[in-house]
Amino acid sequence: MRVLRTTGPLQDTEARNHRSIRLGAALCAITALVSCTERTPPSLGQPPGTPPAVVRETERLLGLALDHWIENIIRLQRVSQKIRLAGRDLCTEHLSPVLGIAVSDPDHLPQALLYAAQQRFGDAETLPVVAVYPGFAGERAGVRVGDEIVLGDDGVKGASDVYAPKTPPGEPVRLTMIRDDERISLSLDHDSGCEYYAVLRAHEVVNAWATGEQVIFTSAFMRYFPGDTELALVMGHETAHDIHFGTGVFLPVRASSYSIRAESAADYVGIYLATMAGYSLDPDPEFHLTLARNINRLGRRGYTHPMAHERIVALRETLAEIHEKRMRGEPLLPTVQ
Amino acid sequence: MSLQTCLVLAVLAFGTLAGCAPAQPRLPERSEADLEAELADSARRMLDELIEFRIRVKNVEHALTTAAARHCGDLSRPRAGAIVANVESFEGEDLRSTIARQEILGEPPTVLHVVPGGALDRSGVRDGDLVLALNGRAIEGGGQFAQSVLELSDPNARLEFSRNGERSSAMVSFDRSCPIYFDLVDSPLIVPWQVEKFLIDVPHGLLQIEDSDDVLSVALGHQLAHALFDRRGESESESEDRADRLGLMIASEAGFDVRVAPDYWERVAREYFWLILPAEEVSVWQDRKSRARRFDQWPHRDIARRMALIRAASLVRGSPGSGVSAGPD
Repeated sequence: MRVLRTTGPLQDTEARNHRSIRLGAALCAITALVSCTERTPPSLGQPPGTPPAVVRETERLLGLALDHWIENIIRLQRVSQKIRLAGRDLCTEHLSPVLGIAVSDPDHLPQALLYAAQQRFGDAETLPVVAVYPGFAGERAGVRVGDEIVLGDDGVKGASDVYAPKTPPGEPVRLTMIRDDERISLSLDHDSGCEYYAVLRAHEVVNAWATGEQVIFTSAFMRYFPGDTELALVMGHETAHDIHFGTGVFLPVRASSYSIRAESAADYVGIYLATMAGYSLDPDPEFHLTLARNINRLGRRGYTHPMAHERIVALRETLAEIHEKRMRGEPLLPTVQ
Repeated sequence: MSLQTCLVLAVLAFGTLAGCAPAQPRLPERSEADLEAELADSARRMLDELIEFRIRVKNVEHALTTAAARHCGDLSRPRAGAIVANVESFEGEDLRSTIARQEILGEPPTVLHVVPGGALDRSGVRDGDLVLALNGRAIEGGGQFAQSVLELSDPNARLEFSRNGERSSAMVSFDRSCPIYFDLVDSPLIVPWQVEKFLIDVPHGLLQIEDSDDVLSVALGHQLAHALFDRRGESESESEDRADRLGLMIASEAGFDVRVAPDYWERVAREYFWLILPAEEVSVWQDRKSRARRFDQWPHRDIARRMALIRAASLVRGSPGSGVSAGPD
């Protein structure tokens, strides 16, 4: 049995007690660029005669980079799954089980990190569980960090079947795992939430966007906004876009998908989603200014989104509206006309 | 109620439920006065942060380029040691109107910051002073002031300025420095890069993640060394090694604690793993003025090989002013 290498802060937190985690690295990968291409983990690719110390350092740094990537996934999924549950009533039929677990996902792992993932998790066809969030189905069913979800069983072909399983409503989600070298089968009595799950992508632009099926966040975004609350604000906004695309609800009449009107609506619904998910948004946020500074767009017209100061005022007023609904004991749902 | 009315109502109700008339969010009302107040406040906060960023970059720039002066020989030039700006020094309509409305910057260029211990500081110039003339030549803009100092053949010059409406003048003995300038740019990157022979872009992202000027000195020192000492025809690893060694030496001589260097480069490696192990599939773009760059054109690759040297050099140069001098090779 392979024992997990311990390289970084990951082992001190949510992924403690990893054991014997393997990863299906030779999976048929589906990325936005290449659909269904065989990917093999790269070799270190260093010229012959590279000193062993440099090879070791390469492996060490790749391990740190993988830790960092997984930390980002853990944070992204924590916020995403809370928002998805909170949006249950808004997503109408676009629902799926939300299990409250995060996995290391070779389909969305950058090529350069596949090597490190193989070193750490081995090359079995499994999805290693890297986080189990309190209060969700996974925790209730006893899923543990370090369990390996077996691919091919129970219709699980990839991470999307863990994040948004296609189990019919009312039926429990079944997962087969390897734990301590033994196969176990768990039945997860799940809650339903929006089917739009979050994906992390390596990209040096501070951005997030909705595809109609997923919500994509860039690695630069995760670095720029290290707090869960800021992440929740944008997660809510992008999820609102996905709700527009999927259900037609909340899409302003005569608005194209990218118009200031549609973006304002997404901001509005997103603030509700983040609040319903339990995040207390700051009425005097740095977020919009940081974003505006990064793209130097304070008060610049001709952009698809409302300007920073407009978004701040709208945020404050939406939070006031939510507060009033709470005081009156009304349900926390966006007001529609 | 007639049967007909009932039917109409039923159709209407069904239509709404089935989404024939999509539900629109009713957005809260926003008053124009609120918007205007928020715009002024946002612009002010953004300006404050931009100035704070510029001050940090200017202090580190001054320390590094003056410490490196002896390596630059005939290239070395006088340096102002201050941020002198007018409205044109800032981009964006609303920033500019805020600057004008709040009278942050007047008509003549204003001293926004004096580098502690720098030439203007030693001559008694203070934040808020207005710069009028250098050696009798009128100064009309922040950029023109920096250029005029750069072009001085004698580093001792007479500066005319005004404070609280009173005109005064002082002899300034400008510090000699390597003629490299750092420009703050809108970008999330955490590594600076060279754009012209004497100009290095410092992205906001680096200041966003790092409060420490020591870390800034390591990042900027490395790029400064590239700008000063890179030679034609040398290999990438030769140039990286020299930039690591000389960058840390200069930063240490400038008084920074460069023991933070391994942590900084590890952070770079964590974020930019394509610098550890090139893999052609990831495409990562860098955006400055729409100039896109694939990650395989990034500088500072080969980071794993460099770490041993970075670690050793950062220890040798560990304590500020340890004075170990290797000189350029």
